[in-house]
Amino acid sequence: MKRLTKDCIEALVLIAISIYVIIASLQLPIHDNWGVSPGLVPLIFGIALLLLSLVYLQASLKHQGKQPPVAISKYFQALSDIKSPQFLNMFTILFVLVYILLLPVFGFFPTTGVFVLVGMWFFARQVSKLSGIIAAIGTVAGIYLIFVVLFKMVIRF
Amino acid sequence: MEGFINALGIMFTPTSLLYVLLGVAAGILGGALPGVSTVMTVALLLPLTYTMPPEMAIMTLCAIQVGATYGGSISASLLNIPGTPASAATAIEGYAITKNGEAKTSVGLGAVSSFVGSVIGIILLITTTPLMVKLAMKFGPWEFFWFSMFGLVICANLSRGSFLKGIIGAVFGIIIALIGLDPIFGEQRFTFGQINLLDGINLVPAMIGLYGMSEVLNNLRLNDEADVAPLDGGRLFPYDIVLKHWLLTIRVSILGFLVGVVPGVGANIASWVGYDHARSGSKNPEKFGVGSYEGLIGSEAANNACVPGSYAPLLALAIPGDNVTAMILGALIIYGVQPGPTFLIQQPHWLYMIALAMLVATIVFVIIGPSCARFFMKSVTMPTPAIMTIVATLCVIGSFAAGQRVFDVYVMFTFGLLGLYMRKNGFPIAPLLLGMVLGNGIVDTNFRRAMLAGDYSIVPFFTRPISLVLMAIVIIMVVMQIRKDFQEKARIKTSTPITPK
Repeated sequence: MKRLTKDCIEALVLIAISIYVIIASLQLPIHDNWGVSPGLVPLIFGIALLLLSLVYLQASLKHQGKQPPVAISKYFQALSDIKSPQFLNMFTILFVLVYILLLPVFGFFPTTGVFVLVGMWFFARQVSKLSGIIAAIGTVAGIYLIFVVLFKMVIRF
Repeated sequence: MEGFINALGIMFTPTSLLYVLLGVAAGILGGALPGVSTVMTVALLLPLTYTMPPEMAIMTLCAIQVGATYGGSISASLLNIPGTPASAATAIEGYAITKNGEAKTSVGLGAVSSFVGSVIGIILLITTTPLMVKLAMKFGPWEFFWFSMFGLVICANLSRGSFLKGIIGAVFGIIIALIGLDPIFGEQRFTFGQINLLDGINLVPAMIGLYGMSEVLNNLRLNDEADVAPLDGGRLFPYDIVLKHWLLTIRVSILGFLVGVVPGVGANIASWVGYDHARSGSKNPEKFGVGSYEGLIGSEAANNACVPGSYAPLLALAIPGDNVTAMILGALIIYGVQPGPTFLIQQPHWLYMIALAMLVATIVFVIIGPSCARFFMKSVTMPTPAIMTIVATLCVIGSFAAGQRVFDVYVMFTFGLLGLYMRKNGFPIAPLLLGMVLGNGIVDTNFRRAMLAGDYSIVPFFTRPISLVLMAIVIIMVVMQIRKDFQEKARIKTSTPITPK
């Protein structure tokens, strides 16, 4: 019995993307001639992606091997355990995402200083609190000196 | 001759020399840092060059690349952790030599081999690029289109992971490159009505995301610390060892250069080609794996000769030889410089300028690299999360500096997530990046030019002699490699049965 493995899902997503590309390409105006129309090259590569994705889907259905079926409930179960790799992965991604989203709110330098400090304290446990503070100040000062003073860049988020 | 004299005038000014020196130092540090590859070092430092004149910017980037390619050998030899993927082969012999009590010889031999490889590569670059330009003058847009397809297929073939996933990545990269306003008619393609996407996806934030941010997201939580071997024993400049194996050094350097010329390949492959060649021709194969000087020479000379090699197709054909030159091509376009066959005829000083920058960078690293290895090692023994936290901030500022837009930072993070997914699921990143670099400027533009030149007929794509040869190679490679992938999967399936949980 065929199972819905990760490879199958990847192939289906790629098929969906290629179908969108093909439809969007066909909707672009032709102008002088199909040969130079803005939709031709995207159409060609959309079709290429569709064919390759179908081959990938066929390969993943035919050679499922040791791949387990995708179990979304088990993934969310693992997320609730703060020591699990899934939780740590998600936490890392959210930590960096929050840093990026707060940049326009508080400005680059304050947000970066706090990010480096919290990152050092939380992830690099061997680093002392004082070293973390020095690293945060040093990073912010270094970026300011190099980008703003030396290269006269305006950093305004 | 005039081009060479112009290049001398540009290269040998105090400002240029200072930037090359700083570029090499920054490159060595970046290359030596585990988790920070050559391409990531160049991507992170690229925004620093925006305010420089184009020639100086490219010379600095070349110096960074040369420094980083060498720098990876320092951590490979002393920590058994390759600083860059191109130093993976070096770690095998370099660390074994260090454990045999010759740490200085290990670091020094890496530097001297890299120096010789780099010099031979530079000589070959100056002599062969004009020949490639002559060949490229026979290329029409049909040939450029098929040559870029050839480069993508080679890149997918030689990247880690399955070929099918590589070629999917390459095609996906081309499609991403087509986002934005069509350059001929100004039609919006795949912009979803977003103003920020009218200019397309900015290449620099995407590259920083794919290589830099994905590494951060993958490694930030790792709480490890590198164990450094003491820098004792042996000699810092063992020229006699390289002289003893002079023929091997020349052979692997030529091999490394040739690998660099093939589009989309790079120093990673070159170092293994050089290492394998040294092992297969060695009179002492039993020493390989336990501290062979020949093995170290093979990998380091080849990977450094590859760097000049990757500039040959870039300058002659505007097709990058590897990921780093893909970034250099992106940088050139940002600075308003379009490489190609007529480019070197009109501005010959670029070839000599890049060669001179690499030569000066090579001389600098062979002096400061081994002498300052102790300093570099102190810098790179910070815990990985500490390094990654700082790299994350450099990713943000680097991608913001590209276009002074917060949107580019979001693009960087999105590509970081994409890169992380690709790393964890066997999709090689290099073909995707190459597809993005070639997609709009080379593939789309040349295809449509070819259609215009051929009176809207696709027949010349299949009938012009060089096009026909390139097309045949591309199709045969794609079919054969996909078949090989299927056979490999079938073999794995029959040898490892499913064990239900």
